[in-house]
Amino acid sequence: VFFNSPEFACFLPIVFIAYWFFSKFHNAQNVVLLIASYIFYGWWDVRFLLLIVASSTIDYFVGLGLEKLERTSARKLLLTLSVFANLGMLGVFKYYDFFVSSLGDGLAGLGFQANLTTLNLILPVGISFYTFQTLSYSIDVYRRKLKATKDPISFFTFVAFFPQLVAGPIERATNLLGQFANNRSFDFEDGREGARLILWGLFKKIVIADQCAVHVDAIFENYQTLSASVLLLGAIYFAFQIYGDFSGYSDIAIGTARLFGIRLMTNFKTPYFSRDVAEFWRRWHISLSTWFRDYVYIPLGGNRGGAALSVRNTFIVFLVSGLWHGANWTFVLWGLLHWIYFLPLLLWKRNRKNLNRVAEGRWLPSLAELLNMTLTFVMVTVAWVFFRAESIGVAFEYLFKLFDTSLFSLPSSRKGAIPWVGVLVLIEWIQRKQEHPLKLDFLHISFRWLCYLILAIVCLAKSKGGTEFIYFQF
Amino acid sequence: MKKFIIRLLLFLALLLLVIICSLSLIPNNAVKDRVLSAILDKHELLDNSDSPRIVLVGGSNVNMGLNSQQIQNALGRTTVNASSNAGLGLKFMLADVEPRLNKGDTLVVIPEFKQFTDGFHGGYSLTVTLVDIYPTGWKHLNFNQKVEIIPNLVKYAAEKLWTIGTITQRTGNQTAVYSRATFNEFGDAEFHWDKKARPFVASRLLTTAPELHSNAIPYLQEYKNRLEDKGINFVLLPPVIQSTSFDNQKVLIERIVNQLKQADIPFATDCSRYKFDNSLFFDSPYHLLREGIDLRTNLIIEDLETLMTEFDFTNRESKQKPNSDRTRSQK
Repeated sequence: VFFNSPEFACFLPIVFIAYWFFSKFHNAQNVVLLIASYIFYGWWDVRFLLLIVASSTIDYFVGLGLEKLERTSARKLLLTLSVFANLGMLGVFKYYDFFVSSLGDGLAGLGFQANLTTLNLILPVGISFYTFQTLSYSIDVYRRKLKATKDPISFFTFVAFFPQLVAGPIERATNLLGQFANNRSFDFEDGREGARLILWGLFKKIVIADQCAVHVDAIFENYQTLSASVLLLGAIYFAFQIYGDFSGYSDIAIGTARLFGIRLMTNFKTPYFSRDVAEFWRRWHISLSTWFRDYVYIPLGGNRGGAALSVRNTFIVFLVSGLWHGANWTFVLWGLLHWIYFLPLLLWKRNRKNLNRVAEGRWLPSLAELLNMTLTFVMVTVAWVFFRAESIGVAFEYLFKLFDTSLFSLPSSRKGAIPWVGVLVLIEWIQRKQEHPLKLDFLHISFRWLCYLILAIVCLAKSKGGTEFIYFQF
Repeated sequence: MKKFIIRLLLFLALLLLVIICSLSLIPNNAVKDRVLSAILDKHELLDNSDSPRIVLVGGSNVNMGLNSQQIQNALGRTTVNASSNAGLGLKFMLADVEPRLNKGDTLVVIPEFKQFTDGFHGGYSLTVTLVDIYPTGWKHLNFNQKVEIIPNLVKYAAEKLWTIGTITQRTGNQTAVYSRATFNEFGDAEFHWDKKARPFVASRLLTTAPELHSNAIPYLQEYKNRLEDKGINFVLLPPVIQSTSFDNQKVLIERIVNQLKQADIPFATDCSRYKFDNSLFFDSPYHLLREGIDLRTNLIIEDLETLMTEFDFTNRESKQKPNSDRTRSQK
């Protein structure tokens, strides 16, 4: 079930009613959420529910074991079991074919003919998200940051909670699990903010991402025949397509969770207004970048071992981040490119320079801020070309074709989505201080409702009915 | 909770009211000059021509991809291009043309391949047609189609509001390729014939064949039997398609061909016969330029010549032995 499909429009009210029917019994509410989550996931492919159940079962018992055991060696063994089970599943379904075929190619390059077989498995939707989520639970219990839960329903619901099951935010047990253990009563403010976030998320998905996608697909398919200015437009569109798609999904997920009285972590904070790449990564897919920080970067030593170790650790984080997005060298290169962008900031200790909000207390940015934002956006957009292209060769060819005099002419076609991108940038800039752009409490209720109505009508007018979210494939 | 539900319902009611008002009060005058409205002209052509005729039905591959006059001249039979837009769906097209067919007519159905999958029940074009061009067409829809069309109705209402400044005015354009005026007296769209090819994207590459619409083949079978009972000949021909798109859609084409064969209503000829070189297309994998139109029309004439000789022979035979063949075909 996609958030932007008619099926979800029927599914959500049913779950909402059933959930709040048991408002005084949080265990019953969890059962409702668990059943709903399994239906939500099983709608796509019921067979892969087994993977979620298996992953949840292993980590539930690993958690209990870690809680009970005192001996470090035994605890390490249990944690290793969880890591191997979760990453093993991910490895088989997502990376096995990639590594085998890459190995085959490498050997062929050296003149050896290896007869390696690939599995050609379907990638289970959301596997990268829920395995990271459940893995973080085991690690936190191992670190004694969290007490293991004895309530299996709460735990299984934490792993499978449908709003964020297939494309995040990747929640931590320290934030989410506790919420399932407590009573929840309906709060008007939560409901209202939830509904607003859903509407804003739909706008970003349907109006921004899907409109840009039409042009992006056509431009990337025919990049060899198009002018440099159209190619530039295609790269910019993709930057907004992926932002609208992924942050739109996150907004809908966070909004839906709030309808059930559950607070999920913020996943995006106007990332294209970042003044450097370090700030971009504090604002883009926050749940993943903080996951890598807490469970990869810091355990590797973080920045405690001097510059050389920091460089190595960030290299590993960006490499893994690239691979997390997909089993393809294009994603690896995308990650490495971001590491290259990040490196000067790290070495000159300027990676935590821009911690405040851009143009704080002002309407417009200063010239320096504007230049920094533009430069960061250009760098990020160049990296997106690798993310979108079918191969590294195509990405380079696409980028080389940009260096042409036609870059300075106006694009002859594919201009249809420019106004929408402009509207998004404008709204996000004006509302950048707010929790989300539809927090319009300063307006009279009639104007607020008019805004919501216009937004809803635009979404309906532009909807194509249940187009897939890009991040499902990760 | 009560406050939230009331506000939410109020908002949805307001939205519904806006949708209803948009559908019923905002006229789409612009569409009256566009190609979709030609369905009314095609009705007139069918109503004003004498049987026995050759009636061509399909999506824009028929509209923008053949020369009916040439067929008429070659076969010596009145030819009407009654095709419309693929977005109307094969089921609607067939249901719409059926009451206008007479004994002795030959119905040549040439659907795009998508019409066998999710395009069978029609899409957005059908919604626009039913709301603003041809409201009596609702009678051709079954219950499932009426349910399926609801999201499109909502989308159309929203789009009407969004484009209110332009759609309420007639375009008045009498020369555009997609204007209603493009059709000649045989029902062929002809403004694009001598234009230059425009860049377009080929049909996307399919690695696995999508499922066919569960009603598509049973409906075709039933429809064919019904026509034959009325003494109307039924011919199913593959559409013309750009070479790259043919290769990209090969898995789907094979599935359609196999399932039609199994149901005993195969295409009258091999699909690859109508796989044309990319250079012959105008602005889509189904729309031909003049050179392609001539080539394709000749192929259709060849195919129909053979088939119509068979029909004439069968009809003569069935006149002599009224029940035997019909009984056999029904079995």
